[in-house]
Parts: sequence; structure tokens; C-alpha cells
Amino acid sequence: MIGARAAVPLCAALFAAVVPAGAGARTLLVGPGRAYDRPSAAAAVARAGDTVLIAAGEYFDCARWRADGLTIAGEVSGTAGGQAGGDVTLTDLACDGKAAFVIEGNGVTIRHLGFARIRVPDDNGAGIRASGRDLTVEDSRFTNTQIGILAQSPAGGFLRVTGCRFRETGASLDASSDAGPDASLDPSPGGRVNSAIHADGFDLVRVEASDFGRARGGADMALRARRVELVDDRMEDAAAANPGQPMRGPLVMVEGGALLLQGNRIAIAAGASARPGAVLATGAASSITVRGNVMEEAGPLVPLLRNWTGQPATVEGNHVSAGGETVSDAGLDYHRLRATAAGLRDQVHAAWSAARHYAGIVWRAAD
Amino acid sequence: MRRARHPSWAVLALTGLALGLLAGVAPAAAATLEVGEGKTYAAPSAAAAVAHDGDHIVIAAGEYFDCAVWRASNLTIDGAGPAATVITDKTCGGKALFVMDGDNITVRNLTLTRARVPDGNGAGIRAEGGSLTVAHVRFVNNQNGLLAAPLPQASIVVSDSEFLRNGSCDGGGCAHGIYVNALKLLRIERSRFLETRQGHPIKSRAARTEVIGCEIADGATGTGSYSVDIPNGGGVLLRDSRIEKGPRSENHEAGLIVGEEGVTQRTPEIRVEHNVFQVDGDYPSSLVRNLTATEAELQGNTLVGATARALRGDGTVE
Repeated sequence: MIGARAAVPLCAALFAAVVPAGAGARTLLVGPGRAYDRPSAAAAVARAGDTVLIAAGEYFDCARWRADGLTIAGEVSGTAGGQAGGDVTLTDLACDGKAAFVIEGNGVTIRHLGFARIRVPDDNGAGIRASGRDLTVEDSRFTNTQIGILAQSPAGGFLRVTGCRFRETGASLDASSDAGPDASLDPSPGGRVNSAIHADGFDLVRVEASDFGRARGGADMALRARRVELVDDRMEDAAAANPGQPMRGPLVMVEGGALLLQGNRIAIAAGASARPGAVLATGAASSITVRGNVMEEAGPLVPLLRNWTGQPATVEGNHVSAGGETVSDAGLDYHRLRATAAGLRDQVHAAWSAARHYAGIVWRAAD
Repeated sequence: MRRARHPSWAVLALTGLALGLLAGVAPAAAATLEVGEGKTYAAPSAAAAVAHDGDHIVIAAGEYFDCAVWRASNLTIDGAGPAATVITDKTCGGKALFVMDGDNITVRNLTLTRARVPDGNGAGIRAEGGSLTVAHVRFVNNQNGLLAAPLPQASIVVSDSEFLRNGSCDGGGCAHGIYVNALKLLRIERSRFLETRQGHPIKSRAARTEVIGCEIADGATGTGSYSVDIPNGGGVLLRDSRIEKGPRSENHEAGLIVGEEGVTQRTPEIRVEHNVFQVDGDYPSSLVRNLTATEAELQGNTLVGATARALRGDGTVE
């Protein structure tokens, strides 16, 4: 399916630099000696529905994509077919202090691209930073970036990530800023997000057949959506790979309605007992299904899922270490107490601010 | 083996003729312009007004309340020594004591001092025409010591010079000891940066920056920020230098910082070798703060002070 879609623009590429297709949608060819020498040059002229095809190579470039319905794809050589990321890499440069690709349009598809070495001063440097809905990222590769994908939708829709590979994300400046056992989906007080995929505001987040490894602190995923589906993913706890920057919190934090964990393989390193679980679910869940997952660990260290939602989970056919737990809700009451206390604190703070505000008005009126 | 043929007399004669013609067509041969009391030109600005490409300007000992815009290229401007020839106070074009509009200019053996302009960027030297060589020059109490416009094809080399009490953050932005923008190469050798005020002793957006054998010290009174600021990435070599952060430094974080305004250019390497890093304040500070993805390579550096550390960010320490 994916191959067939990619083949059409590849053939068209043989005939012209800019090929009319459909109702005004075009194919923009990017690469040395082509109509657009780098992705940002194509981004400057891309219109809704265009396909952007990027030739193999390393691009010291970043781009801001504003149009809706774009397909932005790296060309895949015969031998690289099926390999995450193909032969195209965007490296080093971040646009707007945010990401290699800043995607503002809706319905954008990213395919066969590599993103590497993104650093920005606020530590939220991403391969992809998206502020639209309905984003699809396929067969792409994120290496040594602070964040892989940071997607915040103002209006629901979906984020689908399929066949992607995440390596050395996190790029912690200080391990002490990593999420601890009380990890939160929200950014740190300094505004730092710190996970390979951070998504918020979607109806559906589905991450499938993707591979997370050698993280440099932080989490693999922090997801807030009405439905979260993690299917056939592979996650490797990086404590062994990066002893100086261990992952200390959960590998995945989920908050939202329905959660499906299916067919995932999670490897947990020794020394990880402080974290609440490989996956931590919080908030008000409507359903939880944990099916056919495998957790490899050096002894029973942590549960596969720490369930702090209060919603009973459907658990089938998982494999964990002998004596280990698939799902545990231990600590739920304490978590709720803390959450309530935090809520009360916020309410008191808001009331106090309002009181000061009105007192100020009354005071000035009396003058 | 064939014997090499000697050039014929005819060829020699033609060559001589051609050389003679060239000399006739070219502007007058490079001249030496004498500046000073009782000389052809009373002040540097008078010489600058008539200087041609390749001229040698010799400025006698004395204090010159003057500024000059050097428009010709390949000039050599020589004072009688940093203590003897002093250019002071006056700025040209609201910019600097010496404004370099020509390419490939060399300035040696003088002092540039007390440059102040309303926008805060008053400089001893403003480079805006091309490459520049500075040797045995003292920059004292200017807003910027040396400020360069974006010159992506040019190189600036500073050696055996002294930057004393330059810098200011009064003008909205900040001024620094040396502040260069886009540039192929900034190389600073055997120079001293002392008591910089608020700004950075060295701030460089060059594709490559080399600081070798320098002393960069706040001392007891200096309020300098990062000692060497490479805000947008770029290659860095810092070697055989002494960096001291004092108790009144206004930015404690690091001696050398790379990428702090966001990476906009390639960073092929960050090499920091055989330096002494001394922290004289009661705050933690790193010799290198690396915000790029290029691993800094630290080798053979000496840390002095309980709060001095080697590296924050990506890299290796040997």
C-alpha cells in the first residue's frame, strides 16, 4: 500500500521537476540540482495537497510546513525499502527554536525521513513539532534529538506513528531533571517535555511497530488522548546503555479515556525498581486492555502497567517474569490523595489571586 | 634527457615591456604615509582620506583625538607602540575610532581607547570591509573592543593584543571585548582580556573560532559574562589558555558556551585542550557548556577552585 503510493510520484519525477497532479496538487522535487535544493525551499511554496519528494542525502536545514494535506517523503532506494528513515536525514537545524520540521497544517503525512542532532536552548528541540490535527508519521527515524515528535492538537484528530525508530532521544543536560517516580505528563516547571513522543489534545494516538532504544533520560512516550493505542512496539529501558543518564520514571505515561496495550515488547534493565511501572496510566480511563505483551526483566522489578485510573483492566495473554505483575493498582489511593491535594492547592491559589484582585479594585474605588 | 631551453632575448624584452606597461597603468606604487605632528598628515583621518590600496601608514607617537575610515585595501597601519600611539574618544559614523571598509588591512602597535556612541556599539575597530589582522594593539575602555559586521568570506586574526575594561550592556543590547558575526575564521592568539564589563570577552558567530594561548580573566572587579560565547555553533578550538571567572561575573554558568542562542551553522568540532579554568566566585561554573549535538572533546585541562567543573552537555573529558 505504502509502496504503491510512493511509486506514482517517483515515476512522475522522471518527467518534470514540478508535476501537475489532481486538482492543483503538485509534486515538488527536492535535492541538489532539482527545482528545490532543500526542504525549506519547497516548504516556502508548498500548497494544500502537494507531495514533496526529497532525494537521498543529508540536509543541514529545517522547514516550516503551513499547508494542509501535504505528503513529505524521502525517496527510498531499492535496497533501503522498508528501512526506517530511508536515506534522507535532516540534521542540526531547528526552525523557530522548535524542530527540524515545524508542521502547522492539518492532515500531513511524513514518510521515510530521518531527523538528527536537534538541540534548542529550551531543551524541547524535536525532529517534528506539530500544532495541527491528523498527523501521520511513517517509517521515519529520530536520532540524538531532545524530543522525537512533539504534537499538540488544538482540535482532536489523530496522531499515527508507524514503523518509526527512536534512538538517543532525551539528550538530557542533567539527569536530575528527568521524570521521577511521580512522573507527570505535563512539562517540568522549566517547560521541558522530555520524551521521545509527546502528544496532547488528540482523539486518537496510535503508535505501532515502532522501536525505542538507547534513550538519554526522559520517557519514551507521554500521551494524553481520548484513545491511546500502543501496538507491537518495542521499548528498551536505557539504564544499561546510558548509565550516566538512566531512565528513572515510567517508559510510557498515558492519560485519557481508552487505553490499548497490545503486542508490545518491553525490556527493563536492572536497578529500575523505583519506577511505578513500565507504563503508568492516570486520569479518568474508560477502558483498559492489556493483551499479548512481553516484558523482559532481570527478575520481577516493576509491573507492566501501573494503573492509577481506578478503571479495571482487561488482561489477556501477557508474559512477565515469574513472580512479576502485569497490572498493579498499588498506590492508587495515595496518588488520588496527592492529586486531590494538588487540585485543592490550585483552587486555593486561584481564590487567593481573585480575592487580591477584587480587593485591589475595591481599594482603588474607595480612594 | 632534453636540456631546458633558456628564454630568448626577445621573450625577456617583451616581458620587460609588459612589466613597464603594468607599472604605468597601475595606480602609483604603494606609498608610505607619515602621520604625526610635523609630518605630511597631522592625524590618521588625513592619511585615511588619501590612502590607496597597499599603502603603509606610519603613525608617530602621540595622542590623537581622531577617528578614521580606512576605505582602501591591503593597508598596513603601524603605530609607534601600544603605549606610544593612542587614538582616543572620537568615533566615525557613530561606529568606531577606526572603521575598516577596505579588505585585508593590518593594524599594529597602537592603542584604541574610550569609544562611546549612543547606540552602545562604539568600538575601537569596526570591521566591515573584509579580512583584518590586528597585532600588538591595546583596546581600552571601549564599548566594543573590536566589532565586525557579517563578513562570511573574511578572516580576522588578532595576536599579542590586550583588551582591557571593554564591554557594556547599557545600549539595549550588549557590547563585548571582541564581537564578530558571520565570518570564515576568527583566530585570537597570545592576547589578554581583562576586567571585561558585563559583556563577553569574546563573542563569535564565525564558522570557526580559535583561541590559543590567551588569558581571559574577570579579576576582582570584572563583571563579564561567559568568557567565550559561541552562540550559534561553529567549530571551536580553545587551547593553552587561562580562563578566570571572578566573584563579580554577571553570568556564572560557564567559561566557554556553545549554542546558547540556537544552532544555525555546522559545528564540526569543539576542542578544548590544555587550558587552566579558575573559578574565584562561590558559584558552580563549567569550563565548557555545550548545547550542541557535537561532542566537546576536553583534554588535559586544569580546574582551579572548589566549584569549577569541566563540562555540562555532550562530550568527553580526558
